[in-house]
Amino acid sequence: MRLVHDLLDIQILDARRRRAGKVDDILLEIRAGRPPRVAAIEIGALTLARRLHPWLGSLAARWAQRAGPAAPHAVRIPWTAVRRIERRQIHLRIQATATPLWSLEGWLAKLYTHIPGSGR
Amino acid sequence: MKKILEIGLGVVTGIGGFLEAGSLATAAQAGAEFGYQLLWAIALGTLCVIVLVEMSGRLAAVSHHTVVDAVRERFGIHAFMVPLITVLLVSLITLGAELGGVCMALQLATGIAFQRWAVPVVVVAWGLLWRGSFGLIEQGVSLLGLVTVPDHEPARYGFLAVSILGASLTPYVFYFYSSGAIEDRWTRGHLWINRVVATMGMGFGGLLSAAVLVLAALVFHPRGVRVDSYAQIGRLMTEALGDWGFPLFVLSLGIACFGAALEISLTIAYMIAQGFGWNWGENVKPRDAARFSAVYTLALVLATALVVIGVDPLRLTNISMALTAVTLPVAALPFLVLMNDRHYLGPHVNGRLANVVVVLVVVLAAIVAVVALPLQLMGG
Repeated sequence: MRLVHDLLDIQILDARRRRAGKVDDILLEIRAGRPPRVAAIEIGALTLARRLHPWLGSLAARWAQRAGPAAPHAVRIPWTAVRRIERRQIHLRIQATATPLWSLEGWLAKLYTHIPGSGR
Repeated sequence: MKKILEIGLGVVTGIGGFLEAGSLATAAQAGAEFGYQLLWAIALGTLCVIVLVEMSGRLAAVSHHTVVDAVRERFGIHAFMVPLITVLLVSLITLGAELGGVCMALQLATGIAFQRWAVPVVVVAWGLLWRGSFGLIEQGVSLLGLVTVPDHEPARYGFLAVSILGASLTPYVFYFYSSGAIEDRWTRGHLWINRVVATMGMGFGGLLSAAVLVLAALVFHPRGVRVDSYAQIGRLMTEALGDWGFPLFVLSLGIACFGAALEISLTIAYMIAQGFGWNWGENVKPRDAARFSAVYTLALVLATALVVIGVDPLRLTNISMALTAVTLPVAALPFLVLMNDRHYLGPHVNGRLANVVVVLVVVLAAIVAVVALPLQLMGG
């Protein structure tokens, strides 16, 4: 597999086929005497900001410290949580709702329960 | 039978997507000022939009990717940010223009200033998106559209030409169309439906624009009237259809702009949600696509501000159409590269004709726009 061509920037689906972000970065593990392997994928606005520009990255990092539902994340999903890759989409074994990937989505969804029609 | 229904709905939705403030206004202005001279721009714009829309449906049916998903994946996040930011900015201005068009229709109908209509209009628009009633509106739009429409100044000529080209491609319909195809789970079996829908839907839309231009050329051009307001376009309809012309015009302006406003709000939300991999969908409950719903809500609020502060809707429409033309290469060229990539399309990559048409029209529109836009802004 070509990492940048076939893994970076592709869609991630969780165990219940919810869209859980894109592969924003890849973490490699360097092993003595053996070829490196993918240890984890990283997802989130903080990761993206770092990849786009160091200046944007430090700005996002400062915001991340303040917490809050919209604060940018860098969420690492270990490669062991990946079930398969199919049609250029990653299928995870885990549910996104159990990770910080879902913090803003979950916070908004809870907010929406006060607005009629949000669950139709 | 099911396929025929599918085609019918697709064509009707296509016409609805095509007809909006931009097409109506620019075609009327062009006919009034230059007679039939600018019909070529409508023909060229329609041809280009048919090709682009067919391409985006084909991409979705074959690769199961929306245009946005595929562009980010293929070109990486750095290159993706350029079309993302450009399209978002231009779409927000266009959204303001469409909401302004609805408010203007209400002003023409009631005499109450358009700025005051901004908030009620946006609340209704948001409510429809929230309840997921988009499809219904879109089909209503085209039906009404069908009821209604039966060189001495080179800068202005160029400006109107790009406005028309921009209007046929507003608001980046190809982003929108591929999202719908994914939501309807298109497969290779839909390829021929896609071809029919793209050609007929966009083709009829182009014909309606051409009809407005011809009408304006017949009624306004001989008297040297220049179309500077939406009320004037309404007078055109009185001339053609008698007493019923004006109310019919107001009704279709309002509904066409309203449909377009919903479509652009969704396009903005699709771009962001698909770009960052969030849950999205026009038929998904807001609770299950929370960030997606938040994006169209925010977009509507921002665009309403443009109307509330009282920017003239027709002027806003003209500017947003020309901006669409200038920025078209940024949105369309990466998409075109993608359509020639066998990793995504296998044997269904673009033929040479599609490539040539898109490159020619997109580059032509951008060049004319770059030349004409500053002249028009300084002069007008």
